[in-house]
Amino acid sequence: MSNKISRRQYLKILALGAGSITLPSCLIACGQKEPLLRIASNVWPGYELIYMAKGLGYFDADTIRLVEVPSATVCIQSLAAGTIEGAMLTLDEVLTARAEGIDLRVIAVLDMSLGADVLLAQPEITSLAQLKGKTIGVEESAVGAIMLDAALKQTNLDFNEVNTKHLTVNRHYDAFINKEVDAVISFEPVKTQLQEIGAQLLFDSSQIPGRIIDVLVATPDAIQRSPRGLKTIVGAHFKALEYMHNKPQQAAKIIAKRLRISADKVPASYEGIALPDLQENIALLAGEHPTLLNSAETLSRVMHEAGLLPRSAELDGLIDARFLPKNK
Amino acid sequence: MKKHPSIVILLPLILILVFLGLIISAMTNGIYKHQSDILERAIDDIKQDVSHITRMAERTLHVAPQLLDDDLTQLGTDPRVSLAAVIHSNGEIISSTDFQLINKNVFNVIPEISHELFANTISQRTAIITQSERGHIIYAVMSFIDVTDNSVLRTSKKGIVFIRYDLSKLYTDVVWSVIKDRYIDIIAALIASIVIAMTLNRYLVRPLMSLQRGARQIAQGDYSNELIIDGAREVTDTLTAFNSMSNKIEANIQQIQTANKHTQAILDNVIDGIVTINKQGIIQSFNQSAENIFGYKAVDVIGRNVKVLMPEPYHHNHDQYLQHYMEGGQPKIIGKGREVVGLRKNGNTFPMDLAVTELRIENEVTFIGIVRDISERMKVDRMKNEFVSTISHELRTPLTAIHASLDLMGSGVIAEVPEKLVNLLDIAKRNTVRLHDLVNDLLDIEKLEAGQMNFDFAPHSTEQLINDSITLNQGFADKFHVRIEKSKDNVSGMVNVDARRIEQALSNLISNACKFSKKDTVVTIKTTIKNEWIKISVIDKGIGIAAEFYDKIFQKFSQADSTDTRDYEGSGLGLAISREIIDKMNGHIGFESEQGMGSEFFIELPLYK
Repeated sequence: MSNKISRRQYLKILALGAGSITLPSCLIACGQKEPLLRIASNVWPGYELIYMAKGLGYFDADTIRLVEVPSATVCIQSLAAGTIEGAMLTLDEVLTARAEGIDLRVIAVLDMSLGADVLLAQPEITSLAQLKGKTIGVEESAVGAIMLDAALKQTNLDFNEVNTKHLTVNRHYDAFINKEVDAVISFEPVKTQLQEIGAQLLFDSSQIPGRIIDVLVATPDAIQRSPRGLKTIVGAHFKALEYMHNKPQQAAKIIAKRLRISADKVPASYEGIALPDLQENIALLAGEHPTLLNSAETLSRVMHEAGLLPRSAELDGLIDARFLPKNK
Repeated sequence: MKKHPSIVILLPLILILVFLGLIISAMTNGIYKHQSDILERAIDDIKQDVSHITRMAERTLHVAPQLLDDDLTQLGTDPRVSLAAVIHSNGEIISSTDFQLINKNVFNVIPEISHELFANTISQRTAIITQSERGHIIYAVMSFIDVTDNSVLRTSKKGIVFIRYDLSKLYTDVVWSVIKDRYIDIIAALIASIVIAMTLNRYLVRPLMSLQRGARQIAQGDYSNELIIDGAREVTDTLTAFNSMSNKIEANIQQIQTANKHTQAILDNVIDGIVTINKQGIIQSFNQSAENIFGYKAVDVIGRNVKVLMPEPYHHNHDQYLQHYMEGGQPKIIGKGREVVGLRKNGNTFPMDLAVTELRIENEVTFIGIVRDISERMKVDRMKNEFVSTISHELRTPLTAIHASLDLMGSGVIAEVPEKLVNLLDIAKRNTVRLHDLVNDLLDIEKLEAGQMNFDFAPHSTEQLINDSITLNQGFADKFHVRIEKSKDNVSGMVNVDARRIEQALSNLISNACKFSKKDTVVTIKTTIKNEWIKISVIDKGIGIAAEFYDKIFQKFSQADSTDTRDYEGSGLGLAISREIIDKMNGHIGFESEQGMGSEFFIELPLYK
């Protein structure tokens, strides 16, 4: 038998040999893992879906690390220090950070306050208009400013026509009982406690949808270096959301651990919180004029007026919708 | 033959393996070094971290636990930190990077911390650092003074800080990054191997394949293709040598073919038939003349046994004869010539001369038979013999009458013979006797050759036969002044012969001996027995026989000096007749001689039992 190797066969063998070595090498080079993606957050029901996704194994803990911090302040510090690549924050915190020179991009909207934030008044005050000249306790935060601004706007009152008293949330209940304030801008779980003693609900965040928003942000550096990681974590959030819809009881069990409440209390903690699904996210983030941009503009103005922002925020490049999963 | 893989694949493969071996060895070293560095730095850092948190815990736990939480959770951003926790003196986790562990009992949720380790840790101020077997996990514990209880001035309660580093991912990343660093080396090795493979293919393997094709074509007898000279120098040298070899072989083959044609032409044109057979008697070749003689075509007989050319009994005996010869028996025809009978294709038999020579080429025996049809010659011989016989008969009758008449006249019975006439009558009478003897001899030889002579076989004593022959020749010997003597140590034996004919032959030898002896010498008759044969020798001290005459001595009409002086009278038929007689008696006749010293003629006969 002839042992001839034709030119064509020979080239094939060569190509095969080259391929067999190049391919794995290429996989080594091309498929090299992205650097560790660190996403920080404090504990908040809107953020818990991503923790649940981790528990369900929707992403690899080796490539994405969820850093648990006690407050958004720590998040912002870590972002500033460059020790984390992303965080779950409220939009106002994002604008603040950007104003301070921390470039952050919104890659997903996690939740929106739809009634979770409230303005509660002493039982004798039954309308917003009666607040004129009254003292309103409020946290020195953007959320507080937004709520106050929106509530006053609704009844055409001006900031100057009310007195504001800065109160941290742990002081809300006592201050209200002691009548130090006539009204308080607060949120769960204080909301429920105060309503039980007859506080009047005059205004809640459901009247200003899209104003109080929790978002997932990433640094431009992370966007450049870990696009796959970001895509994974955004996708994991929506998968977890689907899971919660399909198996609310199992989801509640998982979420309960971190919220440190019993599973049966979990549904209540999601009251007044809207969790936008992928479709809604696309509407909020994608397209030529994303809805979120309008919210951000309003927010920026309100914050500026409230002295929370030195100037109106620069909103160019705020949103990056590329990491949303492709619509099925 | 075992098939080995092609060098084009094998060599680059080996090179790649060698390159890869070197690269992998370098990579392993690199990885090891990097991992050692990582571990070293991790130990330094974990010390820093644990003492930092310990300090924070002592300072802030009782006033602003929030600050401790902030700093502790910041640790969670370090990729190496898999868990950090601050544990109360009662074992409750106060703060952790994993919020789920807060307020849990440390012994239930952090497996590294045992009661023993806890006790050990709080018994000292220094940090305890432990690393797992493979160095992937290291953890540090350090105690702090738990001042949450403000009721005492200096509390003895101590909590601990726990920090765990998981270095697995860093270790893995090191592997990837080292591989990435060496990637270019791998590609270079690959390219080098491909270049080598292509070079080998272009300059070695392809020319070798062309050589292989060339060799195949030559094996199939096609010398027409010249190889294209291309490739490495050693290869082109080989190809050139191959081409010149191929040309040389082609020239040689042509030469051989020409020589073969020439030889074949000779064989085809020779008058004699030439038949060659192998040792089994199978015909190997059959030339043109053989075809003419036997009437067969060469193709009809080649491969058949040579027996087809023989009538019985030769046909029947030939195989046996050949086998006997091959086993070392005496040859009958091989090496000499003989008249035999052949068988033509049409079934006719014919006389032929057959000469067989044996040829050994590299242990392969071939017999070459040269055949000549002698039918015509035989016919002529027969006619001549018949003529001689007739003439002889016709001569003998008048000769007898003349002899008788001369006898009568000589005796003087009819008339007185004048003195002058006596001598003439004597001459006439002597010559008629001589003429008579000659005619008798001619008739004898003719009869013998024609096989018409009858023999009267009977057992006789050799002594008797010798005595009788001596008696017969006594007068003749006297005439030549020669004495006939028997040897003293003579032996006697019985032989089955025709006595008259044996005496004729012996007389012939004795008379020849007397005739050619010098005066007053002795002719000796000597008998010896050897191997069931008796040999009767007649020895003279005569003139001897010239060497050039040996071959002719037993031929008809021959005498040593026939051409010139013819001193010794005789017909020249005596020895020829004697040989024919002895042949018919199953004996041999022969002689030994030395010119000038004498001759010994002998007869050998088988002893009768």
